[in-house]
Amino acid sequence: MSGFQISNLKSQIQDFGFWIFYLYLKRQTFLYFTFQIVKRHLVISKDPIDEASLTASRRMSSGMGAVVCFSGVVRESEGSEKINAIDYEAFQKMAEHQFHLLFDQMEQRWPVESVRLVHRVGVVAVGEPSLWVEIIAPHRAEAFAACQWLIDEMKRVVPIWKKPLKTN
Amino acid sequence: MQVTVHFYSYFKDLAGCANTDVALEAGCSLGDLLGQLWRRFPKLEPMKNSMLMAVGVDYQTRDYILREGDEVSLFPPVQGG
Repeated sequence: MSGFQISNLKSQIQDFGFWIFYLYLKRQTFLYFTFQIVKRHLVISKDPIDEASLTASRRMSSGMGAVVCFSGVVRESEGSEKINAIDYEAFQKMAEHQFHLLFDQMEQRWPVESVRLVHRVGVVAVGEPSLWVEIIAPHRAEAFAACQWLIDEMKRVVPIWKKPLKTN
Repeated sequence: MQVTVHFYSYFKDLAGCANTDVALEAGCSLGDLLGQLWRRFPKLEPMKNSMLMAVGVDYQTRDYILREGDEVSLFPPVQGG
């Protein structure tokens, strides 16, 4: 191979590298502006969930057409036994980290504008909410899908446990 | 080297404590640590197939090589919501 051919080959490789780098930058810019502006609100707390206040503080842009809210409420039975409350325990630092990893994944899959999630810890009485999730997206299909997926994944990886407190 | 092991949920009851320090030789894996823990806390061993393990705030597998000062957490399947 002549010096000219080697030089030409090097030039082609450099051009190819440039285009790969250009496409990478373009993708990262797209991801940043498409997904990284998602608003997140995560609270893991002993305080009761104030749904009215959460609803009143909702903010959404005019391009959004769907708000899906889920409220998980403590049932009066666990299996066949009557209970009066559930005592939730969390490994708080890891739970927050795992929630944010899930939010990252969710943002890659659906065009969500905002995710807000509140999970109670400590003793939650029957009839009270232990979990509140709100997803805002352009359309209902992605809002429902993202909400369902987030809760399913939470139950798989977020270190929170429950201990039913039985009546008497 | 020394690592700290934290137990969560009913694993605390099975271990009889919320956390413990364990001395290990350098290069030991999470699996090696579990072997020591089964001897100290035999009630935990029957849980080994469903047990979840983390180092810091990330899940890890038994082949993870531990480092000085690692915070290991052992717990049963999670149940949030």
